[in-house]
Amino acid sequence: MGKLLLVDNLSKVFKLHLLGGREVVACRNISFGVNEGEALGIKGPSGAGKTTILKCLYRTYLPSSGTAVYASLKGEVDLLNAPEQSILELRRQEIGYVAQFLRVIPRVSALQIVAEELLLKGWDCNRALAEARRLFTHLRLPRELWDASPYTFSGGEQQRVNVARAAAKQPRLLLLDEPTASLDLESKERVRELMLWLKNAGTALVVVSHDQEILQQVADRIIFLDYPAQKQGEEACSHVRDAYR
Amino acid sequence: MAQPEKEGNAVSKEQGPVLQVRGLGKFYGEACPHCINSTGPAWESNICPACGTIVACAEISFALMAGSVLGVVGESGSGKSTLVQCLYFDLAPSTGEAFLGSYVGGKKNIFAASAQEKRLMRNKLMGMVYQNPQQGLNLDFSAGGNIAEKLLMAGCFHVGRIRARAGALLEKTEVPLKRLDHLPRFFSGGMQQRVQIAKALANNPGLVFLDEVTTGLDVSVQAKVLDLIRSLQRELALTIIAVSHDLGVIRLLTDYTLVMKNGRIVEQGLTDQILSDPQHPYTQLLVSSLL
Amino acid sequence: MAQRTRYKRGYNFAFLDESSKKELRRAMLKAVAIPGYQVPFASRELPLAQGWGTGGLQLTMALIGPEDILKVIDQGSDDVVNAVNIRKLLVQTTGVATTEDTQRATLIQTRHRIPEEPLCSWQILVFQVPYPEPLRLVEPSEAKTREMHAEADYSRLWVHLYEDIVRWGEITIGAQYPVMVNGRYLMDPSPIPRWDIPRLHMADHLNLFGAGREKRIYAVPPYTKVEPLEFEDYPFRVEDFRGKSCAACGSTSTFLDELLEETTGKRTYTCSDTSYCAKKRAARD
Repeated sequence: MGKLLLVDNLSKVFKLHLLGGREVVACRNISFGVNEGEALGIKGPSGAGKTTILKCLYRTYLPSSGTAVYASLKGEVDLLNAPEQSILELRRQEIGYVAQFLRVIPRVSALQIVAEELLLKGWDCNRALAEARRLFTHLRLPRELWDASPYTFSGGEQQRVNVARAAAKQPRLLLLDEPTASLDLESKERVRELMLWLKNAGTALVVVSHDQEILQQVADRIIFLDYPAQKQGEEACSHVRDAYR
Repeated sequence: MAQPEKEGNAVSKEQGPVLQVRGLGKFYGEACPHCINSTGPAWESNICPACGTIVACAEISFALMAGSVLGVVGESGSGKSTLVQCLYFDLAPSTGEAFLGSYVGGKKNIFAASAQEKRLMRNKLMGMVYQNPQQGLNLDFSAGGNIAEKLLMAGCFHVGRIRARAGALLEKTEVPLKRLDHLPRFFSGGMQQRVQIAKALANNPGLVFLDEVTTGLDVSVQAKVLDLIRSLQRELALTIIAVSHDLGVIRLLTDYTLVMKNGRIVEQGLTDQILSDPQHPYTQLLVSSLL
Repeated sequence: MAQRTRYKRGYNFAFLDESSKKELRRAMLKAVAIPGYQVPFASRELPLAQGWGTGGLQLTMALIGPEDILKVIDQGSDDVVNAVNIRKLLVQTTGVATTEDTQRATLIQTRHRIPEEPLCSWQILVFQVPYPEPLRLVEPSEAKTREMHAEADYSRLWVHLYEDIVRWGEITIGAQYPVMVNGRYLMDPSPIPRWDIPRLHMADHLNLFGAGREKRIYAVPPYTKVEPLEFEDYPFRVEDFRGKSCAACGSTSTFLDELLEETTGKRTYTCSDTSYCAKKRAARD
């Protein structure tokens, strides 16, 4: 398996102009790699910058320095510095992001939310809807919910839609931010299943989580983040992995 | 799970940008050498202290790719409407160039075109939805007549075909077909906007401008109009420039955003990045003011 | 100039002074050079109220020479008061010969009709025009309509025709039907019936249009394309006189006027072109 993503010295510093230009370091000199089809877990205390790393890779945050070379189907792209157009293109075709909470337009049905991702990828409408239905069936999302807005769903059901949305287009790289936080056991199990399924289908996962159990079950390798002032060490994380698997 | 088929991707078919703008500016006044250097966000003003010229917008440059939605956000007087009105030839820009991929292969500055060519571009290659329906619609013509105007200018002189197309467009924009021959003067604000959208889409334009389309509508109607625009954008892979002072609208519709202040672009980037990690002090203020 | 005594003393030949005529001729030349384009001119005061044909009259005055043979008609008739007065004024100030015979006249001034008999290349037809601007119907501003002409932007009038069809099932414009001249300028052909429109197309003779009150001159030179606005599925139609004929001469191929007998309520039809009708009757008798 080849390298899919190589993050080198990623740092993110926020400059808060409203607070007189105060600078806040969110993460510093982060380096790690992800192989094709591999699941990487990232753990660490709150405020260590786990989410920041994912958002920088997805370019929801503008990274301050570093590189992240991603081997896209069309060649290597530095996710941290590539022009916005290529990022948009990669988001449509190859890279998915699952935020901690589902955030959607309240008037759009769950089915459409998932189908829309496929439309963006270039599928026609009927095929996209059929695929969305198939996913929901698999996730055992109650049929009567399909045409309703996920805002009316329970937290667990919402999160299933959230993961299903990213999973639908079968990205080559999926970034997940606390996918199982505060889920009941049943929902957690469904989400875990889906992540494993994606992995088996060849999607590389980067999972940020506090949940030791889910990381153990899904991740091939886990890295540990400490506060950004301190050093990040991958060796240590390898030990973590060795200790549990 | 999705089949790992090779899908024909709707995007990236066209090589060049749909629209490229370079150094666009619009001045009201005689303009002097100090105009550019002594106006803008750093001066908190767009009035030149030396000659009193109003610099409505200046040094605007950006590119727009097919199928993408560009947002232009900023407060009143930031120059965002001036920008789209220049591009739609409602206003003549004072400086700058723009290239339209569908006009002479993007090789000729559209501002240098003749009035007739500009009219042709407006009618065939572009669509515009104004904040005020009175600007975009002739309220003395029926809804169908308004759509017909665009089709006629594009050379369709067949009443049957015009009506079929107008009917299909109204259906798409969720206007009851029985209102085809009614005057939009007697329509609700939301329905007038739908007719405007139908008119803007009449000739399958490669580029659609939305100038504050939901401002002035009730919140519930706003939501419906935005949903409509979103679904049309997805379905027809429209390339859109959407101007709004409302970050909510920008978040909902666009994937790339220009932030304007005092006639200048202070920041541009992916919309989610602008909203989650704004760089410029003004954008940070704007985002922090979001309800 | 040789036959000075043939017209009223104290007036210049054809009433207008020579420099006014020159200006009119220049405007006419420009109009001929740009078919269908409305050329502005300084309309002169005449011993005839504006709205009574002063535009056409000024063109005639600038064109007429002592050798011309003049015919003046109003709605096809030589004997209506407007035609009679204009003819009298012209004869008094020029002394030219007049005729009712279309085929003999060198210069014909008309209000709202084209004579039935085809005109030849040596004849000139001068129209009296009340409203020269075909776009006035949809745009009140003169500045705007001039811009619309400049950019050949005729969409608003097209929409007007579309709405007409939607509302009434057909285009309801009777007389004064808008035409495209030489594929470029939209033109008001003056209130001639639709019947006469095809007879402007590729005609052998020169058509000149004068609007005195509105101060505009325009022209359709010989052999120029004149096309009425029409939709592919709603083609232009002329007035339908099928099954009707002239009560006087029996013609079935002319534009007919409808007459209603007040006592009996009976409808009869006669040729609108009275001199043509008389000619036909004379030939028949």
